[in-house]
Amino acid sequence: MRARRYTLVAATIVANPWFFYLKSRMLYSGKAKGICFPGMNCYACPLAMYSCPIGALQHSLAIRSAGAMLYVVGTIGAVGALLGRIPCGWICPFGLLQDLLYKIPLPKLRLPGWAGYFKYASLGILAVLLPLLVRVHWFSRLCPVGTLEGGIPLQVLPPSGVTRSILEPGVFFWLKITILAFFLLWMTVTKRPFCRTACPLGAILSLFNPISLYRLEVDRGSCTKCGRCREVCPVDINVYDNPNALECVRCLECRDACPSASVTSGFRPLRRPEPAA
Amino acid sequence: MKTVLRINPGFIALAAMVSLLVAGVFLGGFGQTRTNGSIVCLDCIGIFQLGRTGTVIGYVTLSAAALLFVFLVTIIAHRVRERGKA
Repeated sequence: MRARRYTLVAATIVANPWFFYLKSRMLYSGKAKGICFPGMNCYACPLAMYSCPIGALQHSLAIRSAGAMLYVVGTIGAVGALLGRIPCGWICPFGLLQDLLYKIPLPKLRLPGWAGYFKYASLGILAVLLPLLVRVHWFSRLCPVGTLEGGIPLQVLPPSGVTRSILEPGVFFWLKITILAFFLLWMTVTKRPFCRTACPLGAILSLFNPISLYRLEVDRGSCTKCGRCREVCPVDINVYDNPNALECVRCLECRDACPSASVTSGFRPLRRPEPAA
Repeated sequence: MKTVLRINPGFIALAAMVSLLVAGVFLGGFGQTRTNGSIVCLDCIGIFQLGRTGTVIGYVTLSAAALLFVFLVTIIAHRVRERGKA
């Protein structure tokens, strides 16, 4: 769907508009960096003007600030309650990268359904428990988005006022590079592996899919279960089984691909069974 | 006749989350999520130091990540070879 591709590209630019860095080598430090961008876009990216919601969540837990925790959880939760995982399908720059890399003509590997549970462990342990207990951003330390958008660019174009010795890559830099290399390769053979197995933001937003105000619906009467929806689905799910599954990134490719127009979407109330007369 | 109150759980969730957001801003949370932009987030870019235990964990994780990478390359090469034979 071209509109989605253009929206993803536009969102990537909106999240990273600080091109002034290329001339001045000054990172943006204004108030906009307090705003959580609703996608995985690293705070350390030299062009970034907003903060990563997962980085902000870890930071709020590490400094044990109730106000910051409420603000971050409320921001992510409000987006989820309204839209579900639409940011994953339409806004997240890392999602765009995965969609593009999957187009490379290599043999494709399917992911088993249970692999989706790993992202909840990533959220619970790396992004919540460890920052709370040991006050360290452990998910950020391993996150491939940070390596791609922050680690590598800042080695190539270091900011002014920061000496080279501070940025000297050690063993953990190469650990992050290896993790990034693994995910980049995996993205060429599996649909959206980071979204399905590791992304803590996707894990949080997925919890809102069953109840969000924006929903998908399948007309069981006209659906022929042809499987076309699964073919085009970037996360490889049977849409007709559960159109508001936790894994669904709300890309709406299934809605456009369905030959019987059985899949619809929009802001609608959750259907409840009518009480008996 | 029994009156059934049907409230969309999405609205409840949205109201709850917006309340958290407003409460967080009111408590000064907005300004606490951003750090000084001139100080680079060293965790995000992989420039951080750990003690002995952490270093060992780091080397083990590095080795595991490298092994997974090699494993994936092997599977892909095998599939490409099978496709070539078919």
